[in-house]
Amino acid sequence: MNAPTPPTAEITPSESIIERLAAEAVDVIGVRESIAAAADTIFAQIEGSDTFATGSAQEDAIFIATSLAMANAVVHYRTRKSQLSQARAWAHERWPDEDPTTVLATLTLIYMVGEGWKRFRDIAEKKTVWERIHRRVVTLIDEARTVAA
Amino acid sequence: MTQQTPQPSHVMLALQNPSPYERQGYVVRKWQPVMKKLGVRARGATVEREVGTNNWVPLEAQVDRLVPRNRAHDELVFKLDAKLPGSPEDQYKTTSGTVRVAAANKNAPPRGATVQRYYTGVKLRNQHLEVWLNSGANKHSTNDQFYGGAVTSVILRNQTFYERQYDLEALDAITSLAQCNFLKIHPEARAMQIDRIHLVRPPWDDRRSVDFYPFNQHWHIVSVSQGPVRAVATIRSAPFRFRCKDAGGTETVFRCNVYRAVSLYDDADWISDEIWVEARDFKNGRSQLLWFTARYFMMVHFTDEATTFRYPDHPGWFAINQPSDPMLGYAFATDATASALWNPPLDYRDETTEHRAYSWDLGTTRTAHCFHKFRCKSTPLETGHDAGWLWYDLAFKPIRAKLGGEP
Repeated sequence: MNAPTPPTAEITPSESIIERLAAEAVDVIGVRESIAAAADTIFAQIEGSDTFATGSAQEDAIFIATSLAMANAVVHYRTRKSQLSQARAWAHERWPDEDPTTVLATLTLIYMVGEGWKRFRDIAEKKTVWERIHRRVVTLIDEARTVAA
Repeated sequence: MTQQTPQPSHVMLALQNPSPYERQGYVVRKWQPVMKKLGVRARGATVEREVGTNNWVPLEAQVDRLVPRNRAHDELVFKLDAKLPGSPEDQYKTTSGTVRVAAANKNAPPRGATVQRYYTGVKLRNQHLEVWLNSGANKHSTNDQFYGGAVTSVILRNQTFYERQYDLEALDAITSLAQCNFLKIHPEARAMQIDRIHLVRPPWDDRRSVDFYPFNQHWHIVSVSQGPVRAVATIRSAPFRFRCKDAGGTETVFRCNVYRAVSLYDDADWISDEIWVEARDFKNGRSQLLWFTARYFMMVHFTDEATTFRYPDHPGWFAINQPSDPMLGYAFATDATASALWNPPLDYRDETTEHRAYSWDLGTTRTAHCFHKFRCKSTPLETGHDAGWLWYDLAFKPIRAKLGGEP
């Protein structure tokens, strides 16, 4: 008997809007270059979080919590106070009812996973893992989309 | 032939709990007067608490020689095994219990708190914390000479986040929690650093007051001591000269050192810091403790959203909180009062780290007793509670052990 196929992550038009906002967010925070420079480490870390979460009672929640801790650290890592204030104002404009720091960390995570997904979706040995990771983050994107709507 | 007075085998100490409620904990007092009464030059002590008539229960106790060449700084420390009744007057008037102290050859082995001496610093460790006290002026290279006497690492052990156990670096907890190789703990992160000592000359001396900056010079590790109650390290700053006129108008030159005894107690999640400035008269070699004002500096990553809580009219303690995970809280308490908290300090010039830098002055004192606590998952209320507790229980109204005849 074949193992059940995991659902494929769908890229919807509104999801792309969130991903575009995520890309904008990392620019406003000023961490795009840092993420690019440390991409290999970040992707390995995300895969590590996925491995840790897999099999636990609340897989997606554990994955998102551990990955968000990393994204939050990236947001605050060597970022100036003025840049952070600017980025928070930007986030508050778009998600006025949400905590802007959480919004920035979430968007940074969405951006990092998006970058990983772009890099690994066509590589056979990584595809399954990154499909799963991307699917986990889709729930986050859905939430962001709902709130943004 | 002269007849010698027989020395007592033990000395009684009256315990005083000045709070209106019962409590237990650690008791610290000067060892020299007790030792004199015992009539022996003991390097350790046994302490027993009276439970009913002629019934004595042994307590964990030790004697620490903070400055080996000056026994006046020796301390007797013991841990109470049971709560002492409170005192209704809220003062040091009522005796809440009795202990008897006898001399011992040396301290019993440590339980949870240990100290290890290294060439450039001291590592203190217990069940909850691992603290690195840097005695070297530099840390990462020969040029970065600003770490003297700073605590450059405070590891909070066994922290649980997202069903995982972490040992988190409290000085940069948000980065430490990410557990990501490329996110390095900020190399300049440090806490509990005395970066300035302010000395005031007497009013008849018309020269202005002076500042000394012990942070950019090497500190000397004077002693380390450990036992079942605590681990303690004493460090001494590089010497500096202080001139002032005595009441008769004669110029006196002192060779001064800042001393700090940093302790970690068994099973405690806070760090104790005792500070004094010793001045030795160049002419006659006599030592005395100077009145001084110390300034603390720390560079800790609470993020730019950190909140500070303190009562405006209460200078004994304050609390700083980071609002997002890992919700790092820092509680500070002192018996010497704390001034306004600067974030960043007025003379701080690095824009990239300015939101991480804090400084505050202590009030003028001859010996300051300060307490520091870092804790994760701490709400502002909890950190405030920690700071208030540290202040009341350890700085303001500690349990005392009084020798007969002492005020």
